[in-house]
Amino acid sequence: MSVYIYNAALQCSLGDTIKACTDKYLSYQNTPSEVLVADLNMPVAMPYFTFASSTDELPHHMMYRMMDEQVGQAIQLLGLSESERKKTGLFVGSSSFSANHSEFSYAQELHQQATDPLILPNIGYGKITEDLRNKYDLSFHSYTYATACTSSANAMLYAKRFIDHGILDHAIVMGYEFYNTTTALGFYGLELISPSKHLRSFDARRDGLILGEGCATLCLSKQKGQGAIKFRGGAINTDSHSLTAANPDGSSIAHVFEKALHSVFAQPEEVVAVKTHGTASIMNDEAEAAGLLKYFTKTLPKLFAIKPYIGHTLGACGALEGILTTESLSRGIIPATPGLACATNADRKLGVTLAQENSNTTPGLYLLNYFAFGGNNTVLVLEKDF
Amino acid sequence: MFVIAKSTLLHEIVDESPNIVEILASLTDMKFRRIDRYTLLCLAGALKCAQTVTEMPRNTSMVLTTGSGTVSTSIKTMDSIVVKKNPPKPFHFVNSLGNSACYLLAKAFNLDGASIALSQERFSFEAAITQVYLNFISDDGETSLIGGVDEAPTPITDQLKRLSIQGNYTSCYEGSHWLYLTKNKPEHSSTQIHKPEYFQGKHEVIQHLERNNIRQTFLNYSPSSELHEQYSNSSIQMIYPKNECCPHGSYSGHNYILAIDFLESHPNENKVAVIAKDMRSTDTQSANFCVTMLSRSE
Repeated sequence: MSVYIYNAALQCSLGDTIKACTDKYLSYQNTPSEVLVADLNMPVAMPYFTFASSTDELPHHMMYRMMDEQVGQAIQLLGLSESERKKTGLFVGSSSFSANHSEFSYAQELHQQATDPLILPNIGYGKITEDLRNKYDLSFHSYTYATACTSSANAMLYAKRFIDHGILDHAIVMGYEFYNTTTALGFYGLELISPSKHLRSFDARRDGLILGEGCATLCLSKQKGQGAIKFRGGAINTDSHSLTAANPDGSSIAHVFEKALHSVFAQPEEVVAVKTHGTASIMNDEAEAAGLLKYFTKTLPKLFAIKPYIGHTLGACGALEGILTTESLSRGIIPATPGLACATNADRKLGVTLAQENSNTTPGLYLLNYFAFGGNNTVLVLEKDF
Repeated sequence: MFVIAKSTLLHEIVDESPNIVEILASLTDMKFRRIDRYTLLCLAGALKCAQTVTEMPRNTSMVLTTGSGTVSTSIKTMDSIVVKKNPPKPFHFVNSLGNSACYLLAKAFNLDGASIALSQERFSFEAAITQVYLNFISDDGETSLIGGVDEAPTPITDQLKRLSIQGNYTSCYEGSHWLYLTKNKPEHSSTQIHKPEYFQGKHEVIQHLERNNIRQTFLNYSPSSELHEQYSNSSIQMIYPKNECCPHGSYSGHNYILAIDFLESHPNENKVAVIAKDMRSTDTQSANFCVTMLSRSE
């Protein structure tokens, strides 16, 4: 069964509204700022795609407010009555959850010399989802997905299954990732942050990724609206090659392409374009390129990457890049990645290039790739039939 | 969904945590390096469950659920940053991510099926059962390994604060509870697990139990005396945890194992229910409940 995607809200380094974010994304001009983690024995500076707007709020207050507002906007977009809300689930994905709140509270208690400071006061992944579900009186079928960078992509896939099987009529899917030092320093410690401060997917010059903040909410519904992109299906598999990268021979990624297209009874020739995961880490791009070449044996679909313009928003990237892709497709545009991995500067060992110019959409399938630590690979299948 | 294998590790943690490395070593010769307590619990529980499984198809899905997540390794990460003023060790950071344990499960059992790590604050094990149900009806594999894991790092007083537990509890449960489920009815007798159902208030729960002629229930909470009386009047029997030990996420999974054991050892009983209550609410009139029916399949 097909469900339809309705984009509700998007805030990231590109802007504060879906329109502003899409306009800026399609201008391919966004650049990262820099964050400094000063309170360390050896302070660390790194590029970061932080939110476009800043406020005077504490970071976790801003996070809770933004998430709350976005759920409210989704309910408004769907025009849900009280009884319809009970058939609407909330599906949330993140990799860091309330880490920023825990960091703040613990540091504050230490600073205030509290007698018994509690380290990691906020635990669990499902608390925020439950608070929002309660506040908006949504269905009990509200869940939190913790599969690192595939979190909100997996939330989308399971939300669709709830609708497919008549358990829910609608779903609100949110991906969020807010700056926190645990994540920033975790990636820094893994030596995955780009020293050149450029995220260059599949490019010969690539040297790592740049993290990004984002909070994105979309709605899934059986109801077809004008211009809505169909969400046909998708698949997840697990790669036990390495904890932090897919198998570089491309076998596990080719397998998840096959599984995803099998789930919608489609053939590789029906795929018009692929939004790559494209983190620009050496290993990810190697595995993803090998997977593309292994599965699409006749002709490669058009390829584009979004992370060069918003950074890697980790658990949020499923929903966030999903929104930017569907907004572009709705405008009739297959996005490009100008200047990166073109014929002259693509990494020749990878054997793939990215589209350099926007092209017009054609009816067919569009894939969204997401790959995560823990060997979690997810491919979602969209269809534009107009 | 039919139960092929099951296992439970449930420890009451008072002062010290039991040695999971020893438990894991008794189950496998495989060596796992640089893994944390949460992942150790996960592996030990899953390997124990799989002991009686002769063949696990490669596309078996893995659904890992938790109430509290990776607590002890996240504490180490935060301690490194906030107190010691150093970036966290890479393996601490990676272990703190929710689904890193799924990678080791896939490796241990040579699986490539779908894996997800998820949570629902109140009904984590039920959430996992529901996702497996969806996998099966969506033709995403025909077997699934499902686990509910919650650790209770010491000191327990700190963990009780994190769980916002009020009261005079002196201990806490830690657990790893696993089921190996199949979509299709096996040839031998098995327990069937039905899709979890949600209810608001005890009256809806009791009506549901009576409608389905369920006489035996396994609760993840201690019922109030009022509810106790109401159950007694309706001839519904209850099994529930000890009062002095705080039940949280890890207890729900354990209840499923108890319920399956009960069905297997009581040939005259055909149905039981596992009932989980939203621990946020003290009022059973308005609290949310999740009821999962288990029945005998001959």
